[in-house]
Amino acid sequence: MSLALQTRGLTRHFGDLTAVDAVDLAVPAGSFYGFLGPNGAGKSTTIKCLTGLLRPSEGEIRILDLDPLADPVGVKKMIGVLPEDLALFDRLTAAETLGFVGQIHGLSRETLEQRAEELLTLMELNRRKDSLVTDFSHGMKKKLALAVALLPAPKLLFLDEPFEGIDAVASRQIRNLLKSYVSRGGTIFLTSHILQIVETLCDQIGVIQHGRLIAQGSMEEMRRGTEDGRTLEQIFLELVGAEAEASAALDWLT
Amino acid sequence: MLRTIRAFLWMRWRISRNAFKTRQRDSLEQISRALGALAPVFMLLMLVPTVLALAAGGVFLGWKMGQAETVMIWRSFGFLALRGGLAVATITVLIAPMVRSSRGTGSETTRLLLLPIRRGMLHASEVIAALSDPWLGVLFPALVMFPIGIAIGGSVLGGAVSLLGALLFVAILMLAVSLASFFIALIFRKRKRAERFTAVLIVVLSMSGLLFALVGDEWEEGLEKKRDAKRFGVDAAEQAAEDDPDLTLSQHVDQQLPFGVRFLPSEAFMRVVEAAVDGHVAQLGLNLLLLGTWTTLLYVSSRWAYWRLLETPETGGVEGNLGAGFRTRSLPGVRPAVAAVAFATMRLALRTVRGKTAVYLNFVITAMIYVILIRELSKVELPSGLSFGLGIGFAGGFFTLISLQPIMANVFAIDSNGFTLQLLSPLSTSEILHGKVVGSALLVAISTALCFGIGFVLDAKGSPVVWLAGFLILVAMFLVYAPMTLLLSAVFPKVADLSRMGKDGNPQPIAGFVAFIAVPLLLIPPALTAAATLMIAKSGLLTLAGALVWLGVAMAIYIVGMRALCVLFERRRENLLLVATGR
Ligand SMILES: Nc1ncnc2c1ncn2[C@@H]1O[C@H](COP(=O)(O)OP(=O)(O)OP(=O)(O)O)[C@@H](O)[C@H]1O
Ligand SMILES: [Mg+2]
Repeated sequence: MSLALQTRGLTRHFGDLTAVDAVDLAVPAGSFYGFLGPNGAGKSTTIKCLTGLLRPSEGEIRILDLDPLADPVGVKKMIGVLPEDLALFDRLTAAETLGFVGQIHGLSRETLEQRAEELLTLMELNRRKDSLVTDFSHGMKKKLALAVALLPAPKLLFLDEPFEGIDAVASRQIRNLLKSYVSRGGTIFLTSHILQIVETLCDQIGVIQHGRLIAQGSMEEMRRGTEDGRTLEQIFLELVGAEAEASAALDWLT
Repeated sequence: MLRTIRAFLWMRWRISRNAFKTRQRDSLEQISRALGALAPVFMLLMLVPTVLALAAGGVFLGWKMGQAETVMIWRSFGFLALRGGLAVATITVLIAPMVRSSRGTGSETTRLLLLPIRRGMLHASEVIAALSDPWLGVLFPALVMFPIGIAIGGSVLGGAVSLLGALLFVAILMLAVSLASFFIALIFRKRKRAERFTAVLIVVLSMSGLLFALVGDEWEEGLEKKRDAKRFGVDAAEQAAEDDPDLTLSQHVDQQLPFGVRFLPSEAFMRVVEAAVDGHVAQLGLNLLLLGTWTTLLYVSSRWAYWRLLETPETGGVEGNLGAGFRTRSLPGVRPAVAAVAFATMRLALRTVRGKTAVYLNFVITAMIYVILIRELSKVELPSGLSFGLGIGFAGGFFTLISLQPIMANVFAIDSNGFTLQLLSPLSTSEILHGKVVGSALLVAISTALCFGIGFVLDAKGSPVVWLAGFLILVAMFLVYAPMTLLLSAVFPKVADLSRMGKDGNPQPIAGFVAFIAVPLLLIPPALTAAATLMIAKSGLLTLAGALVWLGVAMAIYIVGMRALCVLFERRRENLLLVATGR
């Protein structure tokens, strides 16, 4: 089984804080990888290191058999990213944003127009394609950022919380789209706090807590050894040790 | 109430203190931030002597005026100084919000609105914050010290009443400056409206300039007449003062001013002081009442404006069809990826108030200056080969470089989240940097082309060779200026919003300052060469040769500079990203 993404000892410090601590990821090609963890666990930091936004303090990365530190442009040509802060120009329109990305990726005019139209229709942004991004709602911005990630037809997608803040209709359509993308051979590395969605979509799971990877494997491997019929949520809570559950009743809160 | 005030003050203090907590950032960023924070401190230090001098002057004047046996000349001088000073101060204070960042609009205010704090309190705190305005801060001690001086001079009651007047006047200024800044913030809440407002401002500016020039002759004549009248008036006033020693000089000057002027707060305050010293109870009461009315009116209206501000969300004002579609544009001889970055930079600039003014204002102002000066200029003998048209075009290009400084000297951070998109895209460092240079070049080209165009239309004389030389000198200046500003942008990034007037849209102070003085410095060598070749050698061809030499030198600097910048950018990219995304 070839790996689309592999890290060894990936570490990132912020001053005294170690946000990502010796993480060894292994994402098989053609898999739908769910990267889970509590708030502040280091998921977004990991994605930023993998996509070249942050320089890792230590460790090695291989993406699609390339070293992103040695050949950043080569890697970026093959990946699509939906980052935490969405990464959109406020003062470009939706159409111009897609045009910008298409031009950088060297798409021909026809390809660009056809893909952009399809993506905007899917995201229900077609009517607003000539509005400035700054006038968009948060959900609309996220859908546009997702369209930006998909436009160059990447081989590997990094999606940081793609479903948070998206309406139910769009969420469903996006899920279907992502499923068919994986079935056609694409690889997705996704973080999300909505475990029900992760459970239906992902076949590989990694769990990070306090910067350390505490579990990794296929969905079956995660379920193995536990009694039947346990949900991903139960497994996840068990892994990260649901301390909050027992503590603090907050009984003053009427 | 007290609890709220305490919490409020504490919050402000913590926010300003935490701004220095940048331990997790690299040392260059820490230095950049410290320098940025030091610039206003430095300004403040320079203000201290001014404040002290003004306060001392206030005490002295008050003391002189409070003395019963004060000589006429002191009274007259005192009141005139007071009136002039206060009038100027009022105007400055009202203009200040235009160049300052708008208050009461941050996300901080949204947070406060969610807490159980009365809006009246928020409004009051915003009004009091107006004292931190340097102009008001300078004026305040002098205004308060002045009545104290009167008291020291002997007239204790007069001093006390004057103090009341002074406090009312300060309150009026604070309320007025707040009203003005709320009003401007309200206008800028809607991007469309802000742009229209700026456009109107530009048009009004230029129209007034044109009018000034067109009616200049008559105006000048009128001025002469007025001056004569004034002189006559003052003479008459002096004459009358001699005749009637009970009236002061300023009272006589008064008679020359329109009647409405006396309703202005500064005048009313002056009258309060005068009446307090002289013991005119009726005049005193009337003018205190006038000051009180002003205070109430301004309080009510600034409160209304503030509440409107709180209720108005910041919107773009949904834009109509911008209509560009998916069309991508290419530039001859430029790689598509570089062109994409360049056009994104250019669009960002052209869709913000600051960018628009930088690009279009030069052309308007240049034309205006020419029209105003045309009669004076026609008397000047130019060296052969030169023409005023070329002068206009060149001056336009020169000022374009200066006025584009908020964009060029902060070219990475102004992209905010768009900067992340560029880092995520398959762009090499050199493509990003060249894209930024080309984007700036497009902006400079628009503005300079407009200026050269209008220059050519107004006065196309002069030799084509010299025109070409003038243009090449501008290109050479740009080729050095561009990597310089990239360096400043990389070393001193600062979160900036180009849709804001004032400091929120400005680059980091050091970067802005260096970029500002760099332009005239860059002009010196080619200008000297051009002057020498035109005036001494009297050869347009030599001028062109000189310009070409400088162009070559500039090109070499550009190539070497961009290489070095690529290395620097690689080192700084993470920090630039953090700043651009607001961390
Ligand atoms: N630029 C930064 N400077 C300092 N600390 C940072 C920075 N970015 C992230 N951190 C810290 O790194 C840790 C991991 O943050 P990260 O954003 O990766 O969490 P996350 O797993 O994505 O959380 P969430 O689920 O809330 O998105 C946090 O403790 C955070 O405070
Ligand atoms: Mg995150």
